[in-house]
Amino acid sequence: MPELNILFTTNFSDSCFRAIRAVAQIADAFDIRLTITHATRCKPVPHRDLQSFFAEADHFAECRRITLDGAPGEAVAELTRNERFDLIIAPGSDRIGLPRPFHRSIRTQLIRNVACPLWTTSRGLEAADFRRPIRTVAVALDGWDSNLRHLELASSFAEKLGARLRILTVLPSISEGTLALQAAAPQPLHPDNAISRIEELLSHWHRIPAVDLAIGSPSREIPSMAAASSADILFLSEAQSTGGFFLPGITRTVSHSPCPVICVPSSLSGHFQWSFQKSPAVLPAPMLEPVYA
Amino acid sequence: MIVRDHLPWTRVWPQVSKRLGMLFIYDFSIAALYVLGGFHFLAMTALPLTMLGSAIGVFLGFRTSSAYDRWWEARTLWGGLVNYSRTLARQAITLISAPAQEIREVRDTLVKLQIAFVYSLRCHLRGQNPFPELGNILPDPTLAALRRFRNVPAAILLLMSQEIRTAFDRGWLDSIRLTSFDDTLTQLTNIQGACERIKNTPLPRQYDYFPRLLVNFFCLLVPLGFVEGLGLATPIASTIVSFAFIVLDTIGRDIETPFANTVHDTPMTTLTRNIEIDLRQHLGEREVPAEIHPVAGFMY
Repeated sequence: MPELNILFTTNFSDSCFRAIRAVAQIADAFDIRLTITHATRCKPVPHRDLQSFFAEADHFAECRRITLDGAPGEAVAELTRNERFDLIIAPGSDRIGLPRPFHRSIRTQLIRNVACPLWTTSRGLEAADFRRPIRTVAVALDGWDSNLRHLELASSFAEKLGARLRILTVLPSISEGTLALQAAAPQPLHPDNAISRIEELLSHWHRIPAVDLAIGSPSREIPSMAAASSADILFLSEAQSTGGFFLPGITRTVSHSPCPVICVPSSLSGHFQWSFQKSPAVLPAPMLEPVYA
Repeated sequence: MIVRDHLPWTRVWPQVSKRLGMLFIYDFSIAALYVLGGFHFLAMTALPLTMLGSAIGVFLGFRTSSAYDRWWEARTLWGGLVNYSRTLARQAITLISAPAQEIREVRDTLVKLQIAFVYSLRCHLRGQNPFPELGNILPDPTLAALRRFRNVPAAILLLMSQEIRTAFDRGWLDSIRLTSFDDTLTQLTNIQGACERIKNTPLPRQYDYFPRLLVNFFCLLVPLGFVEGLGLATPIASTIVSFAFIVLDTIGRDIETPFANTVHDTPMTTLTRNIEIDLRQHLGEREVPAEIHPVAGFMY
């Protein structure tokens, strides 16, 4: 049984071709089973195209290719309901050079509708070097996010690879809003208190990960911190990855990330775990509470 | 590499849209200020524009030519790699005179190391981990040995050289055949070195910076030269002229890096697969990997 059953969704864009290098990096680190799929409700692509896409995967241990009929977001969701996948690879779409006010993000649909972590990339990874193994796994911890499944998965991921785990957390700039939020808190919102609180929550871990803290906007600071810590992969929660009410989309944190991102949906069932994950999960139940509460 | 007959707009537009959009707004402002606002001092004669345009044309032509030289050299090197791979396989199959029970193993080892070399060179140039692919070609002990090296293709050449030396020591090769093997390996080393040179040495930054600066400056002057004669139609004519210069500038930038993981790259995945098919057939294998076809008009 493979350690990771991966579903690679492609529309044959440049981003999909660039993502191949990152998939090869994962394939070297894990025993994977790869399914490459193209979903379309328009004219079906020739099977030859799907066979020729990511030809490198023909040499991987297990690889298959399937075409899905239907709207991409729904067809992929349907597929994941029938078969269990551990990771969905969904690179970002290429730039079209025009504003897309009514664009519906397929990645957002997948994060919100599919109970499976989603791997994605931002633009500008052409020059990134994926030859070396993953050495640093970063995870963004939002102080008010009570769902910490992404921290749990990031921890397992790092442990399996023998990589460093770095926690990136951002305190908001002082404003009337933050003062109101802090009114009921037992401690003032101070960087030292935030780090102490995180360290206290992780105190039962064998090795407490490094905690990086910045003050400002998370969508700006997290990509900067990920770059500064030379992160090879960044784990985000659903709330950190998607935003927007009327037309939900991918957040700036994802689109400006200097490394690939794994978005962990909040709908991920408590029973979901990767095969290499320790059971029971690394984080005990009491951990699943807001960090700054 | 783009192999389709026409270049779709969706490929060109994203690269020029921001600059063209800003220029259109600027051109429209100039036309409006001149025609509606009465700022007639904005108009300038066409002579400086003509001279500057000619100078930039020469500069851009030279830059595009230099970029194309790099792109074509990369393609030529990979063409040479195809030839030398076939040569090495032919030599391995026909020049080694080992005992019947060992000849098959020696040939297989050398030819598969050559296949692994081209795969790992492609990955090396693309910044990709080669081991998931090599796992299907080389045995585990060899893979474990290769993991210790930063430059995997160079390490594979070393392994091939050691295999050939062993064959020589056992008397399966004479010194003339050994020399011809060594010549082929030297050619492969040279090809790898030349590809690394292209990859690691960018076009001088002056070639990139000044054409861009001059094109931007020229595009700002264009509406000033047109506005007196064209009036409110200036933005249309000016944007079309600017587009021609911006596209020339963009083409040079696209093709100057042939190993940059873009659609303009040398189609290394296709070439490596072709080499593998040829070499496996030389070994007499009947089941070979499928050929790679262009996907949506692009070969990678």
